[in-house]
Amino acid sequence: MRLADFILSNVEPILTGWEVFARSIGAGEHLDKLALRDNAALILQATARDMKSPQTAAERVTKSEGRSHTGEDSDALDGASSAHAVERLGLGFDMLEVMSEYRALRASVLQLWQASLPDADERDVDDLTRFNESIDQSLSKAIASYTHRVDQARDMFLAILSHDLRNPLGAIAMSAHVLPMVSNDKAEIVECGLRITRSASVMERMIGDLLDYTRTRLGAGMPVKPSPMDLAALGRELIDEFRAAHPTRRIEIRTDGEVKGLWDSDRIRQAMSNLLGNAIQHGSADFPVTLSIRGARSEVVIAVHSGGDPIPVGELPKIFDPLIRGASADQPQKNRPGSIGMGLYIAREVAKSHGGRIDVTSTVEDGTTFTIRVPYQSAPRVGQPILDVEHIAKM
Amino acid sequence: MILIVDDQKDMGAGLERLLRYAGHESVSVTGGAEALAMLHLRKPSLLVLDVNMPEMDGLTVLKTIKEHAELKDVRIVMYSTDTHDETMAEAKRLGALDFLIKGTIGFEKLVDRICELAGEPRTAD
Repeated sequence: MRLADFILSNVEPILTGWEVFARSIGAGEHLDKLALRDNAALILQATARDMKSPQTAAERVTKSEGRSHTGEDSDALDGASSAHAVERLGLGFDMLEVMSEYRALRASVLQLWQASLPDADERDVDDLTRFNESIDQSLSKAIASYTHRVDQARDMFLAILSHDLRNPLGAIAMSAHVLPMVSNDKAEIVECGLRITRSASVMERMIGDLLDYTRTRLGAGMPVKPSPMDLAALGRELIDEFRAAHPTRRIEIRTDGEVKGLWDSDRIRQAMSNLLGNAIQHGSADFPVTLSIRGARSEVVIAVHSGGDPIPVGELPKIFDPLIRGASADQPQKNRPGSIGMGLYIAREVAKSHGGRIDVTSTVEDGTTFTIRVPYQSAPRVGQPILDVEHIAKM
Repeated sequence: MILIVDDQKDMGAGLERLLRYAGHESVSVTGGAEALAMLHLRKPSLLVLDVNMPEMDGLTVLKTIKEHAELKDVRIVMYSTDTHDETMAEAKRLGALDFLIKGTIGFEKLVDRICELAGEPRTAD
């Protein structure tokens, strides 16, 4: 049987072998999400059809240079490859993981095909060449789509960031402009000073969030300094602050069990505050926002619940990634005042840096709940410098 | 009276002071619902409206006012960091007199333009 026909008749076993191989190379945590095989099957089918379509010598040269020739089958392969890459990006795969998947797919096909062939045939070399060319075309297209989408997302993110920073900066500039006009009015001078201080704090917090994002995104991790603390006391403090800032909203707190332990108080406050701010912004005012802190056997569970429209199912996997989440030009992300949309990402990093995790559930019936689980004792963690001495010396 | 709607309280308060020291009575509020409630009590000579606000965005406020029989004559200027062409075109289509972009127009020019649109000449510095 020719390789193209073999692929078309064995899509399911190839995908199974691909999954096993992909897991064995340990390409990363995201390879647990291989349930989404639809695009991989489409790539396989498009690859086989592309292999079966007649190819001239000139087209072969074009393909060997990494350029795809036109034609219905080749276009279908490009389309499936592009869609696959964009979907993987949405699921949080990095480029290496996408490339590893292709390695696995290639290996899976060849292993199964060779096992099915007791005797080698001279046509096999031609089939192998056509197969490798098609897979390379698919890989090139996938990488181009992936890179293009990342660039788009980054541009969108920077545009949002610059807009969000312009508001507090504008307030500072405006107050500074008013200041000479009110030089005879002490109360106004004080008010101007307070506006400048508040806006500067907002900018400081935004830049702090951006630095946290950059640091963790580059793999340096978020440093934590655990010390004894009481989560219930921190929760009550935060609830008082949020009630004062949002007097028309119902904000409740429930605590249960042992909620004292070793955590980084500032970081946990940051995570809880981000989740509460998110619930106030996106939750319906018809329902209360509830912070619950519950001590379990080996961990503490911090949950923030809000009611209203659920998060669309397709958005859930990327909800913690601001770069991907805010990437749509049609519906640009709108952040709450004083925020650059990093809140959920930072909450996740805080949970991870304490040896814990964060999850989200969102349905029409039960509303939306973000849940952080952290063990009672977190080990101190020092973030690695983003740039080492050698890199800094080169700058 | 010039009414300012901006969810960034310090931004609205700053502009309120700026207009006051230019000789105009001005009031700032932080949300669309509050602004709509005020409009029913007293119509301003101009409404200065932000776009990106959490509970009711500026375009929705604009549309609501322009569709309301008693409020549709309220003069409205947008003042926002939103630079999307579609947002600006939609604001104009809905009846905004102008779209001023925060951070790109100097405060002197901003006050002059607001006063011009309000039909109230600048009376003081």
